[in-house]
Amino acid sequence: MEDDFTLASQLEALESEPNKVAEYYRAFHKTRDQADFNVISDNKKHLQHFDCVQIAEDGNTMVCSSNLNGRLWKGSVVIYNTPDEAVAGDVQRSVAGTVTSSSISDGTFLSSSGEYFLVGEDSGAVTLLRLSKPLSGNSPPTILHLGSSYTHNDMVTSIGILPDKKRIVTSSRDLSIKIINTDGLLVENELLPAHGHPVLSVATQTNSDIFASCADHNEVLLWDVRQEKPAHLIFKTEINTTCVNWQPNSHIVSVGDQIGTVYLADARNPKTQLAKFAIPNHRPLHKLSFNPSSSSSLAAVGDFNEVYLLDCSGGDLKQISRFSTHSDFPRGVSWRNGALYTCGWDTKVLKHDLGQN
Amino acid sequence: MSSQAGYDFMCVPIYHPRMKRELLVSDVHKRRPTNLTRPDFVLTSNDWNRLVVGKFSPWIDVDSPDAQIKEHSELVLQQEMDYFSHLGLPVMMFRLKGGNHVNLARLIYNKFTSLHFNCSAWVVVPLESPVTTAISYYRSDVTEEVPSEDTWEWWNVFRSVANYNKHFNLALELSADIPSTANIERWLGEPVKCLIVPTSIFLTNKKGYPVLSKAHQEVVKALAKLNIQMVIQGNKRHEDMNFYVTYLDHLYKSSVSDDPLQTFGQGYEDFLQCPLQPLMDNLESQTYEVFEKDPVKYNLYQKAIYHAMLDMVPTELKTQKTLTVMVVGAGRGPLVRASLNAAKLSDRNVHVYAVEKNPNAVVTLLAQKEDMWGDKVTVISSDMRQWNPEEKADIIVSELLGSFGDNELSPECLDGVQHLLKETGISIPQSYTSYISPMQSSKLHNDVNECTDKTKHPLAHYETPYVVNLQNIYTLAPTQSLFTFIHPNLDEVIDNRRSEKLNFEIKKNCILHGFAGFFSCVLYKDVIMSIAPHNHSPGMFSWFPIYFPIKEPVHLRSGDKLSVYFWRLCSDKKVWYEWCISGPVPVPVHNPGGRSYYIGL
Repeated sequence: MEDDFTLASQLEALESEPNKVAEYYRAFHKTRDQADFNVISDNKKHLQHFDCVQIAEDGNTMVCSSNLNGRLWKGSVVIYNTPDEAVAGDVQRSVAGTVTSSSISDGTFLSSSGEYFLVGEDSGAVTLLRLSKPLSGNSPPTILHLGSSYTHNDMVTSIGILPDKKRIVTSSRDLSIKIINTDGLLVENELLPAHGHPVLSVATQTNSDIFASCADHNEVLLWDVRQEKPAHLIFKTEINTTCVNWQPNSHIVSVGDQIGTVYLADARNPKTQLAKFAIPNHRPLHKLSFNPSSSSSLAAVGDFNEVYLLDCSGGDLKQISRFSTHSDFPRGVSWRNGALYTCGWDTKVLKHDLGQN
Repeated sequence: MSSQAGYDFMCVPIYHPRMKRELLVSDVHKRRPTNLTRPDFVLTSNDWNRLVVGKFSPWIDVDSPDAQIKEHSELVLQQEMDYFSHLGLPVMMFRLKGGNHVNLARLIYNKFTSLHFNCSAWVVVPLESPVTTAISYYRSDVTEEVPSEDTWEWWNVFRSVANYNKHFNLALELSADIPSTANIERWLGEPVKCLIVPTSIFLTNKKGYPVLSKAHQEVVKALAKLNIQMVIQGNKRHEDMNFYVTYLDHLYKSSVSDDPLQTFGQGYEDFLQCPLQPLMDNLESQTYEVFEKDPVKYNLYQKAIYHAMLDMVPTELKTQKTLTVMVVGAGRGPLVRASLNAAKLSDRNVHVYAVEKNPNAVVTLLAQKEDMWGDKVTVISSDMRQWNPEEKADIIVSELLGSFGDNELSPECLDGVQHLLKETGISIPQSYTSYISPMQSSKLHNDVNECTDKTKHPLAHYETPYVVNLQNIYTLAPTQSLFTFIHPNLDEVIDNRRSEKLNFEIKKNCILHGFAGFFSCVLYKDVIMSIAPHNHSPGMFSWFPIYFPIKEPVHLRSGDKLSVYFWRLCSDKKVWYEWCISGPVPVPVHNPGGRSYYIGL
């Protein structure tokens, strides 16, 4: 009798019978997902994969992360007051956060105050968000979803911002590039198919509407949408390209490829290679980023754990530093006041010590 | 959610498309503490098996010129295929980006040959190459005309490398621009299983609902005949995802016309059947019943007999003369009925002999004679070739034609009864001609591949013609006439052997899988009965075309001259066909000496 009683109470204490593991898993997530949807007030949380870190002029720092391996492939945006708070990584001390319906690959601030910002989602959505600080009372700031444009039919791969800070350029795996006016999220230009292959990256400039793009192919194009035929080839690589970035206030474009080669190309002289550097890992590059305050340094991250810092002064590409502090692929790169910040799939935002320089 | 919107299944990536991983340098991979994707628990295996088509990660590139990318991609592909297999997905889906996917074809083909892999493949091919479209739309530095890339060639290389394996099916993706009709027609000869319709190509009608342009509708309708699945791709551009399904459903249904031929042929599309041998085997009641369902065929016969009767007996003699009509191979009596009807309509006197060798059908004939026909009909239970009556016939009516005209030995049978015909007598049919056209159909070729019979010659299944309701085919050149037979045959020495060489001009790069055969027949004067594409008798469904396979598919280029030989050969015991190709590349004679297929006399 006593044995039976113990057994029954033990069973009750267990969450599931051993043969019902699958049912238990599904029931568990049903309640948890429901909770996720219901709790709107506190969505200040990071997901596993940090894909993008952006810093506004006023220091507001956006960390976009995604869940790329769980049940729900969602995204999250968390805003910190300063990049260093993002590095500290205490979500409770962040300003505000929100969850997006799909994972996020790229984001950008629209204004120097860091009030308005956009994220590109893997569902193809471009979502406009606003950091809203209540005028009075004790209620904390929140992030408002101002709207989403579902203009892309596949993952948004990158977002560039045009000099008027009103229009953005988005690239997508659906082969298209679109110019979207953030007033009402209307598509002003649709370039479809911009490349014959998934477009992986666009690079805009701070002083001109002309931008560059590359795709899962070996051609880098330059776009001037005022022209009837807006595109022409500026650079061709041996192996498929993965990312482009524009050197601030210059005509030099950096291009990364599938095997870790960084090229410098001249947008004015099509098909000329200025410099080339091979990152020893021989893995795809993911992002290149010039330091806006000293445009001779270029940070490169890819499908390897290291962050490379290259010097491109004097028309050559040389390695300055190599940081091995990430324990998984770094994805996002950002600069502020000459300091380099990266974030990665190890759920970390890191500030790299660039030494005395 | 998708099932609520009216969808039956979905095509999704199984690994997040951005979930890059390192499989070559193992320690990095092993150090990553997190999972790579969702666990199988998310769905029951029944749901995985019914509802989910898995897409590979888009960054897999096993045909990269770089050895490391290639090696890494192979590992990732292997990992994903293994997981798809673990989940029990019915189909995996991937996209061709160009003509070079040889290694991909090899790897997946290898996987298909392994025992425990039950997943099949949908190979996504766009109707128009986006590469050429992108250049022609936007590039200012490319001034010369960009030659359009033929995406069929991408597919052709891929599946040829994969040895036409039947697990590879096509998922065609509609593009905003549509290729020429000839290009679309060629796809109809391919194993298309799925049509992908991007939401971006839908237009919006006045009421706000999504519709397709006329040109796109035509493509959808043409492909719908192949019994395909439809996939909607892309983000919602109208109020409800359900609108797209409803609209395509409507298109699909309207593409299946009310044509009795099509209704009748439903369920038999591209299904291989062995031709009947009514001379050797007695037909069954069910077979007769199927034939008698054709409303067109017997009306044509009735019309032919009617005109023959009018021509044979001038009106002034109609009361004095009684025509003798012999129906040879009367079956269950539709032609007897047609003869009696024709006599009534033409107001001529008639006596009908119904000759039938199948004793089971004679029962039916006799029953009708007793109940209805009376003295006007005499039923003869005999093989027509052995019957020797005293009276001779004014008209001999027969229905001995097969799909290829003479392939059920109509010439031999009618030669055997022409001694029954008066010198002025008429044979209905008066003549018939067979037709062939070269064709492409992976589906049929694959089906033939599987028809091996260990008791027969190893090549027997490639040397046998099949009766098929041809749907999933592309005709490479217009049909041409082959053999003609005229009755009565007044030649001094009757010879029913034939041989013919035909040349076909090939218009597009394509693959030859064999020949489609048809017949056209003159019943009497201008009463024509035909299943040939150029003059098919409307609504008649008694015959499906015949398919002569070839063992190895032949790649043809546009401008090629295809030279084809066909022989009809006879011995005392049997009749058979042989066929071969002499150019652009020679193909050995199929069915030499009738070793694999013959019709017994």
